[in-house]
Amino acid sequence: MALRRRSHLLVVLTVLFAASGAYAYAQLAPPGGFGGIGGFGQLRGEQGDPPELPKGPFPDGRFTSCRMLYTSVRREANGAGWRTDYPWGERHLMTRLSELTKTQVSLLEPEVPHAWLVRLTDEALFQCPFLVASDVGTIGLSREEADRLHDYLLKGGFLWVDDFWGEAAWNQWSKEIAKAFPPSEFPIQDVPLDDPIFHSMMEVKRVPQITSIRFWRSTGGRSTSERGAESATAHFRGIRDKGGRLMLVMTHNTDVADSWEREGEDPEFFYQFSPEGYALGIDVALYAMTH
Amino acid sequence: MFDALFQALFSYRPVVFQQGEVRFDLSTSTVVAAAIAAVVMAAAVVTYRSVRGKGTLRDRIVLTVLRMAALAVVLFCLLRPSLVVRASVPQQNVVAVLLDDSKSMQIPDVNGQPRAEFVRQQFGAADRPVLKALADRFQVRVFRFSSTAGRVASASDLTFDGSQTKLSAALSGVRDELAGLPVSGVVLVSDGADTSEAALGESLLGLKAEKLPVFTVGVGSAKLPKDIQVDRVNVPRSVLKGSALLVDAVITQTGYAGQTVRLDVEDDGRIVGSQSVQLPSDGTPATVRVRATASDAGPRVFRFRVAPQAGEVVAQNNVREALVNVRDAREKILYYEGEPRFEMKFLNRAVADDKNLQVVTLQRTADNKYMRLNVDGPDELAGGFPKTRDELFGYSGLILGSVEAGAFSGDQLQMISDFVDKRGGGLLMLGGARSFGEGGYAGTPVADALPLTIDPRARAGDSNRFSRMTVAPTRPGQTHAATQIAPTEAASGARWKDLPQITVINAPMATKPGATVLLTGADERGAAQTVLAAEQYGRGKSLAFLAQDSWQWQMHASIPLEDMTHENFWRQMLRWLVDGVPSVIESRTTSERVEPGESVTIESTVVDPSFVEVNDATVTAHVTRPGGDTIEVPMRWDGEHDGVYQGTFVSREPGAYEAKIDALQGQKVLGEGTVHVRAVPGDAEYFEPTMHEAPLRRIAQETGGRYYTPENLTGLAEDVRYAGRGVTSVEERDLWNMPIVLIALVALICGEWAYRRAVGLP
Repeated sequence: MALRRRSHLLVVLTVLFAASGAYAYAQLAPPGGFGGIGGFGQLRGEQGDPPELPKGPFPDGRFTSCRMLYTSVRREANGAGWRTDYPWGERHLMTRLSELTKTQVSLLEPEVPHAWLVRLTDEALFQCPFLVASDVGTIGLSREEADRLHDYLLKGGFLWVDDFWGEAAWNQWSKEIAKAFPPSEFPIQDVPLDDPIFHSMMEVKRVPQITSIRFWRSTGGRSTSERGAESATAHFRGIRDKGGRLMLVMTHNTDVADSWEREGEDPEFFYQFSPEGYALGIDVALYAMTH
Repeated sequence: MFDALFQALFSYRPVVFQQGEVRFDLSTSTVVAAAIAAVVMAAAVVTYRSVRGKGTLRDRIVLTVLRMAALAVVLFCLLRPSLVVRASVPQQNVVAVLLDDSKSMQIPDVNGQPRAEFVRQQFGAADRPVLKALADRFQVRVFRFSSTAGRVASASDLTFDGSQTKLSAALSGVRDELAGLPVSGVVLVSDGADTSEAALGESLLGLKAEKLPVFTVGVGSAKLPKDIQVDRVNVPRSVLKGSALLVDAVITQTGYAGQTVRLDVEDDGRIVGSQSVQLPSDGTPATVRVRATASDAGPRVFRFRVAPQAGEVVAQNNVREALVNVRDAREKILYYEGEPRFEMKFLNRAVADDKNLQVVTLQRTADNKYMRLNVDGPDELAGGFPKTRDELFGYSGLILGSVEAGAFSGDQLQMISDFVDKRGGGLLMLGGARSFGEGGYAGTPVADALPLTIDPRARAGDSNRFSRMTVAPTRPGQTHAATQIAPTEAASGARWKDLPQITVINAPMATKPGATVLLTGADERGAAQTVLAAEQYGRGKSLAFLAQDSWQWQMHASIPLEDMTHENFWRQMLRWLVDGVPSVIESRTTSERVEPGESVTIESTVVDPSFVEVNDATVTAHVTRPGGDTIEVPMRWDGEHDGVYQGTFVSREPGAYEAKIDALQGQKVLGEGTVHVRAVPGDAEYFEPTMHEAPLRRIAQETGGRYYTPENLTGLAEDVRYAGRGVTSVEERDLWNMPIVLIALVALICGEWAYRRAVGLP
């Protein structure tokens, strides 16, 4: 009996080990190779949704969002690499954008906006002047990817990176982005609250610290800092072009996209985070389209 | 040659016959003689009729006619014909010799010698042939003329550096000068190249009324063997700094057909544009479109120059100058975008570095919510789209993005139309889901102002179309200022071919008559659609640009980071949109160039902020002379045209004159305007440098004089003598002793004899 119990435990442990190993591999594997919770050989969103990979020019000229598909070179707790908050984070943002503003968004099907997934090396990147990325504390940029991102942003593209917490994640991100934008020429700056980006349409009076719904639930809603004291303050930082326009914004120590992605899962979570999350999201999207 | 032969045969010059009256001496003896001759003629006829059988009828007729003709000549002599003419009494009359003292007389086309040399040779001193011949018969008064006429002691006083030739003014001046004197005639020596705009007719009327004949002498060649001339250049008087000037130049030539030359544009000695052209056949004008950049602000003299070619007779006409006021102004364009979209962002980015364009953007983000960009102050557009004409007409250009007609009131729609029609602004409508027919503009005043016809059946919200299009310029678009996206025309044409596709969601529309299609698009199935069209509407102009995502020309993966195509496209198009848009005070002068000392008339049109003409303004021109001193020239309403004021000042020293015009209505300042004019000796003398025979012939013909060339000039003095003007005496000249009479008589007699011999008659 004890032997059977031990062998059952061994099977469970083996399965758990294999599963965690596959998960870790998927995080670190190069994009396009193995990846995604949905299984080997397929890219999947955070909740298992199939990705939208552009197979040519976009179908219409309406506003759309692209998710950066990158390679993770390290792991962050509660992170899911490029797929974090994809695709429903941006889909919900697009939906609210079309409802609250005059923006016409590109739809996959009625009431479901497109959420394209692009690599920095894809030509499709340049059709999409609004690019988002999450969990960028795990990102690793090749030389080619850094160059492409450099050109993309200086040509007029816009990138918003979100949901990376703590010093290690920040250091990883700032190290990698320096490959595309050397700090001596393009320093990362805190964006003050009187910057136009916070007043595009909504009045954003603070940078909200939004936690993932899992962390929020795990703490019973008592804490919003996923790394404790290390991530106590949410940051809104950016890199500006030579004309002073923000072309890359970073929401550090906060998971703004979760306030969109998880808007319908818990009314309490919604009321606590989504209004501020959408206000910031809409302002940033409008800024990206107008500046 | 003709004159000499005529005089040898007829003893006198043709003018004597023209002016004289033929008379016969009908005395008893001449009547008797004539009767005898008639009898002899009758006898001759009878004699020939009786000679039957000796020759044919034709022979008899020929011989009879010859005999009759010979007898008729004899009879003519027996009647003692004479010519009664009025000839000037020697030294009792004045002859004015009017010598062209302009620069064109330096052109060396009289047997390789300058035209001036001929004048010196014939009129340079008292002993010179023509002048001596005149002086022997008349009191000669020598005048010089170019822009004005004046008396000189002799031709040796001429300098041949007059910058204008005003034939009409010269003739009128001399007529006035000699008023009251017995004048036999005027001798006008010129190349006929009149540079004035005054018509000859008026001065000729005066001469004809006084029956004062003008004897004209044409000096120079009617055709230069080798010459290139920059005929004309069409240059705007004012342009925005940094704009590309597209100038049409016309080049004519003789002797260089098929040769390729280069037309350079110089700004203060720097070559700022260049275009090669292959010269067509002699006399055929070649039109060249050359592109230059106006990079320095202020009044600039642009020189359009073809380098002198080997063997060219006149090099001075290879250059044309034009004064252009390069304005370092910042033209304000209002851009109203009805929905957040990337097109607005990239349009703004494209022109952000253009210091001469300010695109004030009103971005509607939600219903009644706006984002304002590039405004001058917190109040600008605070209430959304302008609701008054004063506010809207403060802009030079207006861009309507994807914003539906329903976003405007009826008055605002009319105001937008008036913005183009009456204010003279530039309107650009962009493609989008809420523009054109899809935006519900059919039947609105705005639709009237657009270059494309919106289908009246189109309704707001109809936007099911989506076309991906490759864009190419049309033939007019290849050379149009709005579509120049690269430094040269050739590079621009090549660049269009490489640009990525854009998308259009508006239905195709017909082009209005008078509109010009500049860009067309072709979709994957080859269906074509207008992408960019332009039209002049009232005082202003409008553009329709149907692409909804021209930002592809900036962002597309195939476009390098450093590529400036997208920036160039929008800068060029918006600069064209506001180019020439009138301001509150629009000022001009008749010409950008006057002779030093000539008067300058400034004309200004003054309107109020609603662009309604104002007739009760106090308008003053503050004229700064080349030396730096300023004079104030009051300008007055001309009394005929609403809002038009005029003021005149006299240019003193050579150089550039700047006139700043301001207008006050009561205490309210309406606005300011500037106009520039140069006082410099003109170069018109070297253009059309050939000798112009037609006006000289016309002057001679209409006044009863005669036209001469250097070859037939010897009889000039004699001709003037018989002009019949001034103090004259009647002279009777026998005609019977003319050599032609004897020659005719001998020829007839010999002819009769020879014919008889030929047909075998005794």
